[in-house]
Amino acid sequence: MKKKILVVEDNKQNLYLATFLLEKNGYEVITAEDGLEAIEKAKMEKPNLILMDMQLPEMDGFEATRRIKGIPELSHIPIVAVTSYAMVGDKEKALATGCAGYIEKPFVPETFVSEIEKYLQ
Amino acid sequence: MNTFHLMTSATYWLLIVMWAYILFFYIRRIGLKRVESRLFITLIIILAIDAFRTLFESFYFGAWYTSLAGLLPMGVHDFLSSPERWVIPKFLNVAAAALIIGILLRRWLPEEEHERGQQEKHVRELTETIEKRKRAEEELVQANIQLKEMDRIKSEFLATMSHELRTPLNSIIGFTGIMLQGIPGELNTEQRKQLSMVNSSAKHLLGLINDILDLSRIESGKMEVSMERFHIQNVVSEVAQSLSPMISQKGLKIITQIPDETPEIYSDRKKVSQILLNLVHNAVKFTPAGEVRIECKFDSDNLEMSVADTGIGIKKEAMKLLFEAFRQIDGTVQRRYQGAGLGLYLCQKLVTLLGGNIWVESEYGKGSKFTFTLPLRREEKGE
Repeated sequence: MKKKILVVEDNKQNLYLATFLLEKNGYEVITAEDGLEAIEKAKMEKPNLILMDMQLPEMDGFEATRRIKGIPELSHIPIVAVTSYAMVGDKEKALATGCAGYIEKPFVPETFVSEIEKYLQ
Repeated sequence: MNTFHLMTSATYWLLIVMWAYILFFYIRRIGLKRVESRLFITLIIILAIDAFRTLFESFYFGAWYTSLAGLLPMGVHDFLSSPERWVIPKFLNVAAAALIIGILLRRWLPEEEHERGQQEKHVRELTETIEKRKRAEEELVQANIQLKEMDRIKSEFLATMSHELRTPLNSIIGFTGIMLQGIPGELNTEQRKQLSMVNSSAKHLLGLINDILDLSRIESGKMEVSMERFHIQNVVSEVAQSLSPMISQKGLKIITQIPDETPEIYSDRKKVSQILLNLVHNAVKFTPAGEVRIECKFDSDNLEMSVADTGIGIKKEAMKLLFEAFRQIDGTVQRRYQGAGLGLYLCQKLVTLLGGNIWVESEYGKGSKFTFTLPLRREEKGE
């Protein structure tokens, strides 16, 4: 069975980029464009991994992560934070919030998938 | 001659002399200089007026009895004897007392007053100066707060701005990368060439944005340093590797001389790599032909890295501008060699941040040699 990855990202182009790369590598991809939608999709789809952009409209990635980690049946899902080099302290904040790890934007297509696979073990 | 009258008048004259004497010495002894309170002065004035009244009355009666004794011309007696003249001495007495006290006070008081006035003036001036200073200080504090706020806004703006600029770059670099990998389908040679131009331009742009971001971070003291142990050799190889297309394209030779026994360094690997990349990139950029030499030396405390080239060199007068922000030596060079002029400024800031020094030696037309040091921090344990 294909592994499911929930990609949360508000920029449509980047969302498509991540989706494209993951689907090419044999994953099933679900998408969400803000924090609230991410929680809904996570509840419905129970993905194997969540790729969460930290800067989102409505509810940001930190809050969404905190809430997902607070839901018992979802708390085991590893969440990988997508942080931007531009934001000082986001990495530490992401790890403190409960993320399993982080990848830095901009994505490098050559290594993007292998970086995510580390968290799928 | 009436003896009684003569004696009475003499008594009065004696009285006058006595009073004058007492008054004179009284005022002198008290010493108006030492008089501190106005109340005291008032007391003296009252006493003095009384003394003067007695003095004048004595003078009047002295004159009266002197004239009665026949020692003065009769006109004086007539003048004194007419009852309306009695009024005049009373006025005269007070007026004269006031006059004399006035004269005395004018002689003695002004010094006191002057002194006190001077002191008051000093105090007033001092108070004014202090107030002025305080106001200036407050203004400075305010200005400082405003400046800090503006600086914070600037840094925030730069951070947000560069985040916004990087988001679209993410997809440009990502998609061109995917297409160059041939994942969506095969490209023909021309398509591949053009697409790799888009890709490298986007990467260049990303580099510039990162430089600006790093600068704003260093300047606002928010640059994070993550220390680890590593071999400088590995960093040099990576840098040489990443610049190898540019080096081979220009037909340059790159020589690295790093002794095998070079110890591991405890520093920020990413930043060291950034510094080296910048220096080597510059060396390659400004060297039309010849070689770029990367050397490493070390002593017990420091590592010394140098990047020497056989390029265009730097004029003496331009050396001091070299490490300033947004400077590229003279406009014509800038036209020929693109760049925002941030690289060396950033290098210097990064080296300083890591606890080292950076300097340059150059001969115009022959080449340049950039050297920087980094503390080895042998005692620090790596992870």
